[in-house]
Amino acid sequence: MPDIQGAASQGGDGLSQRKSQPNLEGSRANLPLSLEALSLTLEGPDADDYDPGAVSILTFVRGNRTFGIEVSNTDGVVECPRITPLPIAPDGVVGVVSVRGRITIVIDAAMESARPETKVKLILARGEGQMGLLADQVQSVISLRSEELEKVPQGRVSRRLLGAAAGGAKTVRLAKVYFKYGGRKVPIVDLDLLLSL
Amino acid sequence: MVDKAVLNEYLSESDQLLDSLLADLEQLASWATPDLSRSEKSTGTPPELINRIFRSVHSLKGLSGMMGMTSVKSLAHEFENVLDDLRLGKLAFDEKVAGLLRESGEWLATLLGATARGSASDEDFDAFRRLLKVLAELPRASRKRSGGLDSIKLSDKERSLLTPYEEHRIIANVEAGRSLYEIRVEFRIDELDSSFRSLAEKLGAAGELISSLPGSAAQPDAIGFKLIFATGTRESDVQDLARSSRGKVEKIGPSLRRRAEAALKRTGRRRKPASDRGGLGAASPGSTSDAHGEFKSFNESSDDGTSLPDRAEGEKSIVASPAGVAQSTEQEFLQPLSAGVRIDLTQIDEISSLAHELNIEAQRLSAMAGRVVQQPDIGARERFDLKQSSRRLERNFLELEERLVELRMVSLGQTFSRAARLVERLARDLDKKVAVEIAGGGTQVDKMIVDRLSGPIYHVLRNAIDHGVEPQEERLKMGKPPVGKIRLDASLEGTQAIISISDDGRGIDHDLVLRRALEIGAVSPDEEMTREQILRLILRPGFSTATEVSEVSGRGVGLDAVERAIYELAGEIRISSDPGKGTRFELSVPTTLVMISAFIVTAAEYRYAINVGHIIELLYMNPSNIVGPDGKRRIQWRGSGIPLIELKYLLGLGGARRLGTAGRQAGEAFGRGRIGLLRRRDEGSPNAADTGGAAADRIPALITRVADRTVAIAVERFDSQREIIVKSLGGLGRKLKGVVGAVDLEGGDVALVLDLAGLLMLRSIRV
Repeated sequence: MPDIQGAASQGGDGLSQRKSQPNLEGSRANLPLSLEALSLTLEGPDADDYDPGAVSILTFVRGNRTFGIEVSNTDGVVECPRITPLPIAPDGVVGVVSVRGRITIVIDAAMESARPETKVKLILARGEGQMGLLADQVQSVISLRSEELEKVPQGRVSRRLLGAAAGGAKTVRLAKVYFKYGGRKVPIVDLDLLLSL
Repeated sequence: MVDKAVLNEYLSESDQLLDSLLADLEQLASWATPDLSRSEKSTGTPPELINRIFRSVHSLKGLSGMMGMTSVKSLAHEFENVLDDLRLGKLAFDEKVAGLLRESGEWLATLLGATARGSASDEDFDAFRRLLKVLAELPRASRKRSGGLDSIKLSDKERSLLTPYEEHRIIANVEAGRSLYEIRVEFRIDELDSSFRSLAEKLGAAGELISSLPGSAAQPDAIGFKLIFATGTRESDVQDLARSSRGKVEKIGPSLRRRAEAALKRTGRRRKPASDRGGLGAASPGSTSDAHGEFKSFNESSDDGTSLPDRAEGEKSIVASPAGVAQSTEQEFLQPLSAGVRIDLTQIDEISSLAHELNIEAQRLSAMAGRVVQQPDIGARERFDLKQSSRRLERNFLELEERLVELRMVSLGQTFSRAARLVERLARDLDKKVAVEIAGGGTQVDKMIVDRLSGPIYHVLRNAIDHGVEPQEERLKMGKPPVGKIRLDASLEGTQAIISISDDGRGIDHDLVLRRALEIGAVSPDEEMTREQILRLILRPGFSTATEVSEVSGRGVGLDAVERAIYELAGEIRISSDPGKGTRFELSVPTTLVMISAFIVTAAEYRYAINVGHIIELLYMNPSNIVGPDGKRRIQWRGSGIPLIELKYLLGLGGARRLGTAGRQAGEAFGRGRIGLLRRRDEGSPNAADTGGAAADRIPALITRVADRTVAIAVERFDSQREIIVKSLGGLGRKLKGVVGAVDLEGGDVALVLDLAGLLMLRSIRV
């Protein structure tokens, strides 16, 4: 009993993430980079404080906002090729690209439907969804304990929390949970929610 | 949570089990109604059949458990219990039971499918539960039936080894008046499997192999068995059967007196099918049908009343059947559960060897490249080799691609037999007698197309039964055979699969169709139409000649949905009908949508691929021939004005551009630079030179067809025609309308493969 309480209170007292800055810029970024491998090397084999409840989150910036995605849900980061727009697509679905011979649907967590003007990166989502998330900048991999994650409440909430919001009356939910990071709330993009766009 | 790949494997397994289960239950039902033609049916006798059904349900129970479908599992368990009682003879088999079992099977299939899709409702589960309750509450035989067993020479030890089922089978065979034999055999361990199987097959054909008990073996490397075998054939025949396996045969019963008693008793059981049909030689005295006539009156007066207390009720379903409650899920039920395909090992081997060849060729090429790098002035020989090698590589890659596309092909057989089964049920519900004939079930078509064909096929079949095949009296009056015939046939024609559905019913009345078309304003009175054109009118939305809305075809969607589904597959429907003689629907669809012949066009700086099957004609329009204001432009094509829409606008990539100086000069003479009709496998791109060099200021457009109407779509540039492999857009892509997939183009670009009909519908453009 005391152990559990101790752990809980520790979780409450703020940020205890291990943080690091992987080098994703420069020439290396052209290569598909397995983020899982990356996080493993970061943790190191001597990570004796291994916590089965911990999740690794990759943070990235898109449209001046920070988002997170579980590393285990990703399949690498590539330079985003020229996007072919989709004719009639929901908000946030920018178009399609071909990455490693696989047609990938490009999603903008900032819910912009226009193609990005500048060079951006694409975080590939793992699984059968064949999706990728646009990122102006891929930041870092951090490790969070599950109690540091907070549920995005139902009902009216700020757009920042939802992860994204579409124009007009319809609000799009991209995140089920968020975490506090440097005083800001960072939504963690959920693949199932992306699939139901 | 079950792994998705594993889940898929389970689902495809369940699919096959359900298929054989439903077929077996159907067959079982036909045993209960002996008046139906039994000639081509039944390869198995009821004990085997019931056993097979029991095993299928048992396996399905296990699978649904592994898939985490606990509700399905528990119902399958109850179903299994009922079947166990039937198998052990506790539950008497009759028409009513057969009907209930068949319904149970259909419910099991429906619920398993619905649960897999996440659309299962509590009411459905309750309905199945009620049905099983009815089955569970049927009276069970309670009398002790060991009498038959006592007349058999078996040691206590041997008797203790028999399972309840084996005991039941011994008793049943004794009661049926057959003789029991013990056959002692031994097989060498290394040949055990094949020797045993071959003997068991031989015995199974002549009687029933009830049990294989352990026996002793004389040789050290052999295993001995004591087989318990029941048959109605002569002892000498059994000796013959066992001789090839050097088996020793001993008759173990029953005594003659028991057999006579048994003959009396047997006739008291209703419609016990003779399971030794087609056995060897003549039946032994007193074993099969000799007592039938004498005891017939006894049979009907005594046993019948108790075994079928509520016969009249038994004719109708006691609880709502899937046909009634889950009508909407019926079509779904046709769909296979699994998204996967089963692949033959030989196919994998072929692909592996092809990949190996590719590997060797690539190595050769790289070795050559190494040599070339070292000596820049390469000779003619090297140049030739290099060219050859790279050509081989290209060819091999092409073949590999084709092989991989082939892996997606499945045969139409499963869909056909499912549809036929549903049709037979439907015919029963409508009280019509129909025989379904299936041919060409082995025709291979892309799995995705097969899945999307099942709905249309079923719909047309339903129409054939409901509107086509006449009731029996009417058929007899017209001098037709009383049983209607529906034929489901598939064949290949080049890259198209032709599925024809024909019936020998009353046909379609052209005049009636035309009258109805005039009524709803689908045609104008002065329109001249061919018979075929008139028949095609029934494909129009909202068209129905049914004077009364029937239980079956009156609800839901009409043939227009069939037409749309086929069109989406880049296919075609042809109808022919002979009033009074029958109707024939022909669905022609490509065998694959993955490798298609596509035309690439440019619009708003992007390239798009369009299935050539959807293009009627390519042409260069003279801007001056375009009339009407923006958004309502039209051009003249083959003598009539058709709408003209810009692809860019269809794609939502910007408004209409000014197409030349049109709009002001309506009524001017029309002329167009036609560049020739594209056929499905045409090579190369259209030649702009055909238009007389004036193509520069002409606008390229393609003519396509949506339902029965044509529309012109203007593009920026014609690119080329080529064979492409359409790649799926994945999970989210399935929800995107107007796009069927994408294709990689040179330079890393992606071209969307468009579904023009879908796009037109999305933009709600009425054509």
